[in-house]
Amino acid sequence: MMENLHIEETKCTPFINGDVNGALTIKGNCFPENSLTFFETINNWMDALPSDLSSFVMDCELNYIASSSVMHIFKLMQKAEEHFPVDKIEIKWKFEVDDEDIEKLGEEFNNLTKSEIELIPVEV
Amino acid sequence: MNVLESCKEKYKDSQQFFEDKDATLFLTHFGELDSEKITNLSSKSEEHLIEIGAAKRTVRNIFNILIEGLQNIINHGDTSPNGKQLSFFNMGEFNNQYLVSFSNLILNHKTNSIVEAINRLNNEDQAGVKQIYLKTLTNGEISEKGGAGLGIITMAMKSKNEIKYQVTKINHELSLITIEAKIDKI
Repeated sequence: MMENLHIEETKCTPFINGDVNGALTIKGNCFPENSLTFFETINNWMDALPSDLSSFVMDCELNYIASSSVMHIFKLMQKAEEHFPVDKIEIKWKFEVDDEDIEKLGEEFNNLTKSEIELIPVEV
Repeated sequence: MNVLESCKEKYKDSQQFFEDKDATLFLTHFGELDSEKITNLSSKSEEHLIEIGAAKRTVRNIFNILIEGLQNIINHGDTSPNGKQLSFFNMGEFNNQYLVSFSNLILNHKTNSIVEAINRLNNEDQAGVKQIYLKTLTNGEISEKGGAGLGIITMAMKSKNEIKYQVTKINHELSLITIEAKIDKI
């Protein structure tokens, strides 16, 4: 039986929480030494999710993010779109109010994905 | 002179450069790198920049450049004949800019492709660099070491200045490549 995914936050890797009912939370810094190894677990978890869930919510709140991880996050969004109907996907992209780069990254993802990404400024 | 001695000599020269220019060298490292060292070095740089009153945006840009540059060394740096991934980096403050430089060993036959990639970026304006970034991002290729080919492009985007480089041949097999990113004070 599929289980929830839980990865503790470190200084260089984010808190990850995957809920089998259709939610994935990614929060913190994201510059693992090997992004491929770090994201493999999340990719495998996503692959095992049933595609008939009523919704899938991806909630991202990133601080420092390495370029390789940017690509992995984008791939997770693409994976969600392959796995679920676009109208069932909700992507929340949170950024510190004055962090223009993370805000712009969310805008870029919004331009590159079929899903509507909700950009949410967060006061720190 | 063996590879280690050559690298140490170059490291000494790189530090002297800051002194000659009357700049403050506030963070430096020589030797092999791993995830923990990258985390420590980037935290130290962030703490120092906040302490000296650098703008938050500058602190973020430098932190990002540092991560890209140091991970670039781990992902692409070659090793000395005794298997050591020798590298060094310096970070310092000039009157109007901060400068971060990364140096690592590289096989001679690989230098051209890196130099070409940097020249290509330097010939573009910021919009052009962004286009290259988006094209590389959507290509979606990730190496075994987890690199996405976005490191130097990201450095160019965050630096907003030309990326300088220097290649010094060490022997018939290896060179030392130095990549420099400057960040204007705001």
